[in-house]
Amino acid sequence: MFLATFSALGYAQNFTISGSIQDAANGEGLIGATVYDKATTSGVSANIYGFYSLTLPAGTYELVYSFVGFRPLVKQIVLDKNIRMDVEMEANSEVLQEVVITGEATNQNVESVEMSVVNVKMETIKKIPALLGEVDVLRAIQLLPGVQNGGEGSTGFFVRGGASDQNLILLDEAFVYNASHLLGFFSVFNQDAIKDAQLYKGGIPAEYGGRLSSVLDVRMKDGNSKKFAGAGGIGIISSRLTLEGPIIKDKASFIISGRRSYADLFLPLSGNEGLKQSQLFFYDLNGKVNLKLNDNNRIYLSAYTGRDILGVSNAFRLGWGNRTFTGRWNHIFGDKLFSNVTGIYSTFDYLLGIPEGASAFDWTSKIQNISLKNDYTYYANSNNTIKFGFQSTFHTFSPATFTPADSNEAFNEFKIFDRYAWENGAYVSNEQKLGGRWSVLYGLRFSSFSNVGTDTLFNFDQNYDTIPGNGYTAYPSGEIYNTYMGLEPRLGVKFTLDDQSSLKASYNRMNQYMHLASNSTSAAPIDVWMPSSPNIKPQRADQVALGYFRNFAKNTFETSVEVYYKAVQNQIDFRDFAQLIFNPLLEGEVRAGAATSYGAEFFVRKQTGDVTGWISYTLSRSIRDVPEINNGNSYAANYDRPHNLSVVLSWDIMERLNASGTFVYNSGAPVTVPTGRFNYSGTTVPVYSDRNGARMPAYHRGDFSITYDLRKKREKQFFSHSWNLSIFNIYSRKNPYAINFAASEAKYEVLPAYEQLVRGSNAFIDNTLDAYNNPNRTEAQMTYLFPIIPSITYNFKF
Amino acid sequence: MKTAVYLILSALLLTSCTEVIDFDLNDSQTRIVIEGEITNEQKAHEIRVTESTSYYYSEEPPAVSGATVTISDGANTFVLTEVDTLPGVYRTEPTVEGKLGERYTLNVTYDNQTYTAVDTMRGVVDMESVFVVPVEDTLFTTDTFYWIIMFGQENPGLGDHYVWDYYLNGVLQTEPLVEKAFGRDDFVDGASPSEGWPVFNNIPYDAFEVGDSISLEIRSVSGEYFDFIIESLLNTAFRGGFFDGPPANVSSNIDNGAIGFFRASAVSRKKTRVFF
Repeated sequence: MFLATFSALGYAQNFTISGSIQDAANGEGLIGATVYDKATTSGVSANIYGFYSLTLPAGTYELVYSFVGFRPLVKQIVLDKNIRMDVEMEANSEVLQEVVITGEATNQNVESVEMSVVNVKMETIKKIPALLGEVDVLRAIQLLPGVQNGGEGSTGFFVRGGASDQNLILLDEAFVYNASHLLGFFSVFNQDAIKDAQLYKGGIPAEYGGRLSSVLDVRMKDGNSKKFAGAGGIGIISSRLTLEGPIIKDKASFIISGRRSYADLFLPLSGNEGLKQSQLFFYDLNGKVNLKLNDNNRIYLSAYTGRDILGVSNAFRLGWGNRTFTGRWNHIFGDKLFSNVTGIYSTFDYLLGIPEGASAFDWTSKIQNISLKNDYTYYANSNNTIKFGFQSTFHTFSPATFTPADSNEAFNEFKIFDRYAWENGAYVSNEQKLGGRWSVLYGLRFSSFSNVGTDTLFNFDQNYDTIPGNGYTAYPSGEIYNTYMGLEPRLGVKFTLDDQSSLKASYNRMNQYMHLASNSTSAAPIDVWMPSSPNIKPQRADQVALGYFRNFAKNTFETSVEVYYKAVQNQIDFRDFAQLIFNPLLEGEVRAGAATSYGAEFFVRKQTGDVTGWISYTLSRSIRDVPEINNGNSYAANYDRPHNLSVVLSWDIMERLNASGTFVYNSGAPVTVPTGRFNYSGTTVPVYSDRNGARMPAYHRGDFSITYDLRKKREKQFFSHSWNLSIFNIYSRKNPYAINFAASEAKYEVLPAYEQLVRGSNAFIDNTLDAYNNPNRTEAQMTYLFPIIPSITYNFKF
Repeated sequence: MKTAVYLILSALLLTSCTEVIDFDLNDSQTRIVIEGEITNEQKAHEIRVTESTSYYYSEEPPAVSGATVTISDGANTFVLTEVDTLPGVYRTEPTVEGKLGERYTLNVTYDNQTYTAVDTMRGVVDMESVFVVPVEDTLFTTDTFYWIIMFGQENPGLGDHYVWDYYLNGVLQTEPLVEKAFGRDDFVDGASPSEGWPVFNNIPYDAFEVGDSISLEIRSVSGEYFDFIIESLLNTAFRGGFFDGPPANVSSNIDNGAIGFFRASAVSRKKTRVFF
């Protein structure tokens, strides 16, 4: 009695229990697993390395470790000294199918002070029907509330009305500049190498900075530290193989994962001579090793390289790819202070050229950064978790170098000069439980960005022409000639209504100092990044969001409603007919203004049981006001699509049979259409509406897939394998990729004889010939990419 | 880039399809469209005035008859009269001759509205000689194309813009706009008469016969006119790529909401024959 009172008053001595939470099967750290005291529900969640630290008054506790998809683990502990406790949790696997498990899901989404954040596990993503069987993180992300896709056949995504370059895409903390393969049909994230992905849409924590709208934090697997294992698959367009295992059991492990597409193997079958001699493939290679020196020190090295190669015999070639390298050292000071030092290098480049002949040339472009990061988490007590750290990054931009081959005498070498910048960020934040029903997460990030010589800065007049006689200013090597700085407050508040529901609010300010010169919605690999400079101010966003979170049926159903409002200053856009490629005066093409987006997101998710999935609906707008575009009138952003519905369902019909389906509906993308036409010099030229003044037809699509596990019932076999049949666009909806308005071509003028036979009726030809041969005729032409596409994939695991 | 996307799609054993659809367009009010020029030649200079139409209108553009059209150099005003047989086409007296360096103002008055455009006549390259030669293209194909090559002294100093047309046996071959050649002097500034300029290099081999008469015409134009052509092409012949930027209205040098372009051009012309 006396002790209890003492404890309640807080005079009792506090002790810390800390350690790691791992998957018993492979030793992977369980990111975000929670540990809490059953009686008071005070607890913490594991960080991205699976480390946790919980400080409680001395006493006896029943600690619950829980994680979605894993059996909860309960530990009785007597906390009378600091304790190190590493736990391993077991997955809710088929071993337990006999026992009826309602799945004690956690109420993490209600409890956590963070909002506007979604974690997607690779296991969930694998169940979503995939285009051509290629399981893809970025396509899965596009099914979440608040995330718009970049149109048919694109992995580009747009979060809460932000542009695609406003997403910070990280792979083991390294920037990924262009996450697309095959011009955007697939992403660079190989399913077998990825552990999970976390998307922050708002309330972005202070440890992240540099992009306005979202953070997509993708984490690679660490490698199985228990046993040697492998996984792979053979699909229609690519095959994959992953090997992982311990180097020293429970101490060191590795993973290596590769994927290569072989669409080009079919090219020789083509009747087209040009295609026969063409090359077209991409590959990814992920590798990671980690070494646990002791309980307090661990080292991770991870690397990624991937490339697309496209070549048309000797006439043309195009290649692009990312490379990242991350080295990390975790160190735990005592049992409350977790530190991590990271060194990062990442680069993206592309090459476009003609390999042979009199016009042979290479055109290359590259961007790279080298970065040092140091992050600390101080688990002060069960009510305060303090994070602080810094990051310093040196960027090198090489927008374009044109190198003619020796055989090419027509052109000289031409280079758009390299530019350099130094970006810094430092932050501190605290997640604090205020007692009672309130929790807050408050933080501040300081960011700066400096342009560093050697540089040539063009001086523009108010018409964006270079000033005659003072066209540019040259800066010597190493000179810091321009610096932008910004303070970025971050705030999150949670008010618990009851153990099933909470209200949350958040605010964040973000600064962005690097911008992608792109005015199409597709993520073209030849887009170039450009730094802020005296000519281009940093983009800045302020976002507020409010949310209501409620779980039902013992946390089986998670639901949430969030509303947000985001205001962007200095939103980058481009003048009409801007020339973005190979333009030394690129900065003169930029027009900056304001962007406003707001919306409401509704989300229902079920993560446990035989039927899992989610329904997401977003109602949103994204509007731009740029004084020098569209005569100063506001216009819809390219990705402004007010209605966005996604339904994702997965059903374990039988032990070995899973069926899943998705349905998506989006309002049509805004498009600029002609409102008239005129004739000039024999050419019919359109007269256009306001920018983005009309909409394409709505986009909707249903996908379906079935996975059949070939493993015999209930046996825990060494080797497991499965077939997956996916059908993309099951009702073959013709979704517009682009709508083009043009003079109709005289397409039936020289109808081949066989086609006349096929078409049969003379009437058809007679009726249409005149219409199509009329040079004055104009029409709307819709291009669509994917009709119904079935695919089959064989996957294995051992 | 378009080719690249098609290549990828074919390789994925897919085809992207294009089909004509019904797409309702909001038809705006019509606008006055002006096209024409004054040159340094002594002739009847021509201005054509039409109206814009709804986008799906599939006839010749409606002519604007009964407008008052004048061209002035500040000191003299030339009145253009409508050609009886060609409604909407207005011509000066055949004695009018533009001068280099002169600033010309076009005035079109119609339906109580006046539309004005201004352009200055710049110098052009005096063509010294023109050749038509067949050239085998070894890069992409093995086909042979006719090239039209000109020689002449380019005016030193950047900022010159040119447009080229050619005539086959007296018939203009370079309409619509995409058929024309146009260029800036960035790479040829001050080029001497010994350096040939391959003006046209993609004329199919079967377009000409030995003995045909070819006449090449070069015009000086303003940078604004050059942009106008590029923008018109970006909206028409060059459009439809997968990575197009958003379309936008082409610029114009005519005020009061009219569209089109009035230009003052110096012209040089040279004739040759097809020998090979």
